[in-house]
Amino acid sequence: MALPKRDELLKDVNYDRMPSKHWMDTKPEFRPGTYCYAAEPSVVEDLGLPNPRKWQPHDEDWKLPPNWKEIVLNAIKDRMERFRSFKLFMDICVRCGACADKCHFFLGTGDPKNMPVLRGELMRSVVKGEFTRSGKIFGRLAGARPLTYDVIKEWFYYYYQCTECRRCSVFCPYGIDTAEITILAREILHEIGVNIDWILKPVRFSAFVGNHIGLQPHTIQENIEFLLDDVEEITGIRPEVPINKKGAEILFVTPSADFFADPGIYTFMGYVLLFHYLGLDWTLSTYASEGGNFGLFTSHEMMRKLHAKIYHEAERLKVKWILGGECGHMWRVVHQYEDTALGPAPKNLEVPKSPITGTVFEHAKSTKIVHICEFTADLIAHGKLNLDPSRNDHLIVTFHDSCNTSRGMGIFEEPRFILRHVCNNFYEMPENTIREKTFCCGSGSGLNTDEYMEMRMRGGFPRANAVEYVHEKYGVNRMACICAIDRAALPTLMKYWVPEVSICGVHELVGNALVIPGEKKRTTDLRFEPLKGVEEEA
Amino acid sequence: MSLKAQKILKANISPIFEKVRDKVYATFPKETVRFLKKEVDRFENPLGYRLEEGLKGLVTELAGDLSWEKVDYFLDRIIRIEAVQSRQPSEALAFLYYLKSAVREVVGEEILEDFGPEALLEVEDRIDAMLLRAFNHYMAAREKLHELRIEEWKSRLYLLLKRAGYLYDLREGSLPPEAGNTEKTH
Repeated sequence: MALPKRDELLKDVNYDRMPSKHWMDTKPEFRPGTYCYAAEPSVVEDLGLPNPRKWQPHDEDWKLPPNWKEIVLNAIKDRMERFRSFKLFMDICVRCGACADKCHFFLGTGDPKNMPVLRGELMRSVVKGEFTRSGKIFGRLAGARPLTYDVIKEWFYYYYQCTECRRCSVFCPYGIDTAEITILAREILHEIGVNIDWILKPVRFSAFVGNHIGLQPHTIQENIEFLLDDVEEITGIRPEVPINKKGAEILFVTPSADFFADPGIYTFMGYVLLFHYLGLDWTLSTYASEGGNFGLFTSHEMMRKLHAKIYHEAERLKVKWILGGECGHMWRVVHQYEDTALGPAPKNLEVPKSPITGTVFEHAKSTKIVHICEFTADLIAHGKLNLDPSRNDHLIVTFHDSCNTSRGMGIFEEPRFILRHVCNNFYEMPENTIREKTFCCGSGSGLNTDEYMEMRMRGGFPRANAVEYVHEKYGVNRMACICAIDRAALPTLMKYWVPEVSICGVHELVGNALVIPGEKKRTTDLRFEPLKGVEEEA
Repeated sequence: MSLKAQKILKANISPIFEKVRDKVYATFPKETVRFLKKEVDRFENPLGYRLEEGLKGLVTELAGDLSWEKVDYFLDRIIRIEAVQSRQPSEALAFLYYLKSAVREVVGEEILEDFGPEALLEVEDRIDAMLLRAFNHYMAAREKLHELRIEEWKSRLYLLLKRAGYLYDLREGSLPPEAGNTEKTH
């Protein structure tokens, strides 16, 4: 007796995630959850960017300017002339495939166009097809294609499915940095008004008000007072938070989410307790109240414009140097562009020197900006902090290297050094998922918006997969990180994949462990969660 | 309750698993399948690792003394991936349909010959039961996604909402606990 073949029933149901056509013939499908919304026309207009109009990626007609093709080709040519790196990247790839399986979006989506080699090829093929003779003659045989409307849609789809995390570049034998290709591809798309709301709104607020959600100075102050109420209730101490104080020694710049978003606010509590403990002469600025710089995801010019606010405030407030909080891409901007595109620093700034230990931060000689983890690690190394790590005993901690601070800047040891001193239970994730090989949270580079939830859960899957491993093996229940997008995106990622693990900044744990003269006996951590041993006593 | 065809199934766990895996992989692009099959490190290839772990687990449970606790575990792990990967629910749960096909193709005739049609129906009923359970997992994952979208907005504006008294706070008890999530708003 021959059994019926069940699969035949499915013959007419198209379950292929990707049709087996040539990649150049495959078009992206704009399904909700897999793309970000387009920017509102008023935002585009306010920023003086081209082609403000109402449109959405799922529309058939994107209302591009009539000469869109000319604009794009000129933009490519312009970038190739201005950036040698870009010109090289458009030329030297030998398609060895070393990068192919290194992208978290490829690992999480299984979509071959998320292989970095192919992501680069999306642009490379057009450069070849439009600018080279061999490309024009041999076309597809030479890996070349013309620039079409569909190519623009494809670029938008895939260059906003790259978080500019740079993991692929670690494995490229030629040093091709796909993140830079993405950065420039987005910059080029902006010229014809192809953009996303989640990036341009924060850019507008940062430019016009000073931070991503447009908190006015009085709101920032009220929020901080509200936070200090909690700090006082927990520790019995009410630290002073100077705002726009002229003549302070240090200007402190941190992602604005630390003033109002959960769990960034607990990291902020950690900062202010530390500064109180040290008696630091510092100030916040309400005008440069944003460490994050979504200009990096827009254009080089926008990045420069937003960064300038920090230096202007440092000049206006006459501080000596700048201390930067736990932010991700802020540090890529500082580390990679400060000395070239964004400098020089204002003349009133001095080479940063820790007023407590006397350490001169030589590496920040020209930028005048020091990372708070460098600052705190130096304090601990000099024995300047009285720490009680047992106050973090209710937590079993692992550390997520944020892409920008690790691969974009090279901070690996300082946060780990701090964590080992402020908590007793610290476990690393597997070697191929940390340090320079760290997996992205899946929401970086301005993609941490809710309409993009499904794609974010796919992109963050490799990271979550490694967290799950240490959760099962060591009972890890807390992941520390030093990036505000991580603190915004990882809690969501964890709640989907590993709900037992919560997220915090490194300085939240410092705030928990710091033994401050005059404080009351602590019974809870900064989240009002009971310390280990306290519940039993009660 | 053990199945009449248990022996046959147990002897064929590997071929059934391979068959169903290949059917599931056939829905991915060729280039991706090459990678999914090649890379064995569970951290370098989380998708392949989890899909294979889950499918193997389900085949083993099907052939053994099915424990719903274990079946739920494997279903949940596969479906949480499918819930964010697939375009439609039917696509997300198709892997169980493929499991049925794989069983038929690999051991169907043998079961029919040795034990008659009842024994095969028995096996297929088990898979149907798994498929019903799978709906629970799929819905749970999708609902979780939507819940996370809302929660993310709340935590993004945490302090502003808290100051306005809009958040349930365990310590202040501004809302009865049954009104929502008992967690402290995150």
